[in-house]
Amino acid sequence: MAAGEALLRLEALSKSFGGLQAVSDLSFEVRAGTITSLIGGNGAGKTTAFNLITGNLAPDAGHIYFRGARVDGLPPHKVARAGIARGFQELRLFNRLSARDNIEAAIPGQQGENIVRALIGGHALTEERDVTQARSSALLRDLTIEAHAESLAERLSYGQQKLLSLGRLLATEGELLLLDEPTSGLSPGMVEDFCARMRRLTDAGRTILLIEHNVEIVMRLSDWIIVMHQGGKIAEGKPDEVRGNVVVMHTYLGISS
Amino acid sequence: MEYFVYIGTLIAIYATLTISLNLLVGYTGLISIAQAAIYGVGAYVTALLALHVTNDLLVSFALASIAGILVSLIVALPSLRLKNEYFLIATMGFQAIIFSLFMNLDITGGASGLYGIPHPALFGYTIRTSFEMFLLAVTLAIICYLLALRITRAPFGRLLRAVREDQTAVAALGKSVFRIKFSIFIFSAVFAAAAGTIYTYSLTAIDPVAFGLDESVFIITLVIVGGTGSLNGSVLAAAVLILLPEAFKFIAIPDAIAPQLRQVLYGLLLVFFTRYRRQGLIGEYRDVLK
Repeated sequence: MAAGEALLRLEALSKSFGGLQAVSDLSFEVRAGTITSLIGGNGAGKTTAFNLITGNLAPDAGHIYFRGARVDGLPPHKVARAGIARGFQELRLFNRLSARDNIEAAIPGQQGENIVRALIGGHALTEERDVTQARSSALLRDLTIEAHAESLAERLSYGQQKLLSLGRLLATEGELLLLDEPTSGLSPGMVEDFCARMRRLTDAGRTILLIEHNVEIVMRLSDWIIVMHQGGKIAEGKPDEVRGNVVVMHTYLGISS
Repeated sequence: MEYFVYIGTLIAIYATLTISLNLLVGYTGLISIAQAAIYGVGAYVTALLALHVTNDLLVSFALASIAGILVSLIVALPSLRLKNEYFLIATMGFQAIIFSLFMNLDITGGASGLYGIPHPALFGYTIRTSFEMFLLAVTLAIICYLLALRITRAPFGRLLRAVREDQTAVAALGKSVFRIKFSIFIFSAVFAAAAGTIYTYSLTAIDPVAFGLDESVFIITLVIVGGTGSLNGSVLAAAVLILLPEAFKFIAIPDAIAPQLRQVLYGLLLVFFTRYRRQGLIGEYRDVLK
């Protein structure tokens, strides 16, 4: 998909839990090759929006289009296969698998993941294993955690776990990356590293939809910002436009005009 | 001599059962207490076939496995929606239902079971001696071990462990948790049912008690004692826990209390291993049951 076209489109999406309207009449687009940020206070509906996009929740109303095809109603693994890779705020790593296994479990289209093919075995699987290992090694090297490739994920430092979680997303080869607070809890140096990585990813043709609380990072990194409040969209625009929006300043940033 | 052959056959049968359950419990994190039900379905299907239709061993294996698969898919269904603790309870209920069917149906012979089961035939040759049955049981255990080793070392095995760690994350990576779980339930059921076939032909008589809840708990005890996620541990645990109570027979314990002592021993082992040695005799992971 060419840069600038709408890769993901939400149309009038709504979701309520009992009496709580978590997302209401939410519409927006994410353009290919951009970093688009979802901002808003706690309970604004950002993570619910993620869960709707990934199929972890079914919308009460509205539709979701990815590359022009509807993806609402698909189960999570099919949404992922369509090219939407989702990271979790709580990481959800496979803790008692090695860092390498965490990455390799994410690599798509492996024949050896089919039990019948695994039982038959053979040369094709050996070759496939070599390809998979080369791919995971390259990713681990790029993430600077190659030295910990064989360590259990739970033994890594928090920063390394965040990197591994990003690596697992990249291994899926998904075109759209949904990142939920990727820089939270990181040291200033690592935050910079993450920002640079995100920028490199979009330069390389990936698209990022970001949930982030750090306003300074959002303003610096985003191509487009969507402001949510009480489940709905109250504003959107380029960072400067959002910064200049009185309503946003008031409701989200807590600055009175 | 006959006695040792019989013990050896039992060890091979339990090694097969333990490996088949370990794939669910240790690798995939699906704590099922219904393995004896699948084993029993294999045993009863074999017995009924032999009594009424055919004693052909390969036909017995095939039909017992198919029945085992069908029954295990019913066990598998709740695993797709229920959290671990609830899945465990659901399998326990399922085990009770199957046991009650064995106990109460006319066709299964009720509490007295089925007896007078003819010897099996393999390619026209009738297997008569217990030593031949022992060889058959060992062959099945070896095949089960080697195939389990193969799938657990393949990328499929990595997915099993990933499901154990976090299903939501597995789905988010584009892998179908449904397919992974059903694949392993089917594999596990084939070997549990085949163990039932061997058991029926070895004993030539079966009754429901061999396939009750106690039996399921015993098999899961073997998995835990051997080590969740360790195939070697499963084989070792089957050998140790079958041999240990047999040793009672050589020391001066009256026959009247020996069976109760056996239960006490299993209970103590289960408590000891879950409390002090989660990784089992030679298992790798400590916290599967946390």
